[in-house]
Amino acid sequence: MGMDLGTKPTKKGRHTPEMNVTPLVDVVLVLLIIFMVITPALSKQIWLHIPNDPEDLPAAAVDPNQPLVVSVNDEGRIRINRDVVSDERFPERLTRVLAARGERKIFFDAHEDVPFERAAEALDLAREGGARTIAVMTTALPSGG
Amino acid sequence: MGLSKNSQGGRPRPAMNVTPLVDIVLVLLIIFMVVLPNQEKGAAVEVPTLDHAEEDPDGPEPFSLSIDRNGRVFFESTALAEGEDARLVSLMNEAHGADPERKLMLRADGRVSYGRIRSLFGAAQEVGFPGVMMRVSGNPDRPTGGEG
Repeated sequence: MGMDLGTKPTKKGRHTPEMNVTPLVDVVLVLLIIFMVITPALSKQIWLHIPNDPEDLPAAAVDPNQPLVVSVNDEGRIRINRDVVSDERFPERLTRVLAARGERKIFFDAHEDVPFERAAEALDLAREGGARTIAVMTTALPSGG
Repeated sequence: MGLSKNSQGGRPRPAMNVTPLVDIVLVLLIIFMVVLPNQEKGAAVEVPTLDHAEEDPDGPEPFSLSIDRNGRVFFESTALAEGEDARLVSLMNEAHGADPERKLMLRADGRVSYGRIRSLFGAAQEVGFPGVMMRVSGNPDRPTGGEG
């Protein structure tokens, strides 16, 4: 009934007022595309091996012939075996050490009180340096150093 | 220009009815906004953002082990109190035994101390998981992942 009011003037040449929705559609579509693109990019992962024999690990940390140990000390600084390395130089240094050893495997540990975020940063830098197999220790390193 | 003259002559300009389109797109947008933060089970955590992470591998959806900023641990949707590591191991044992193909996904808040994370690695080792997928968020500014 109410609609009839609208139709009659139209036939005489007057338009019913219409909202211009084009900008709204534009904005909404762009938002939708942004969400769709960001969704898969947000969740990624790093695979960490958990070695089966925990007894091997402390030995690995002391014996220089054993696999490389990257650790984060209580001050949050990264160490390759026993040497403290700055964040900037760490990836390059690790690349060289890995090349000299001919393998891309490292063991990783961090001090109890280091925030996980910092440990993850160290892992990220290790991956940048070319480490492909990262094994985490399940017991603390024998000496804090 | 020609079009506008026509319409002044009394004929209405043809206009597409975009209302259903807008409806659908708005609903999709709302679904994405609602589903995105709730995609994963367990605690609400802020995982670290890294540049060199990998895409998720194919395969069955992994078991979710999460730890929030207060150190509360969740396995799948089950909350565990601090010090309930034995219960965590038995829960994981059960789940791993029922479906050995499924991997373990660790979602840890960046503010948790590493000691707690290491004890979770220890629990996973006890159960016999060969490793964990550490959930991180990719850096959107640097979309190139690790090449491994």
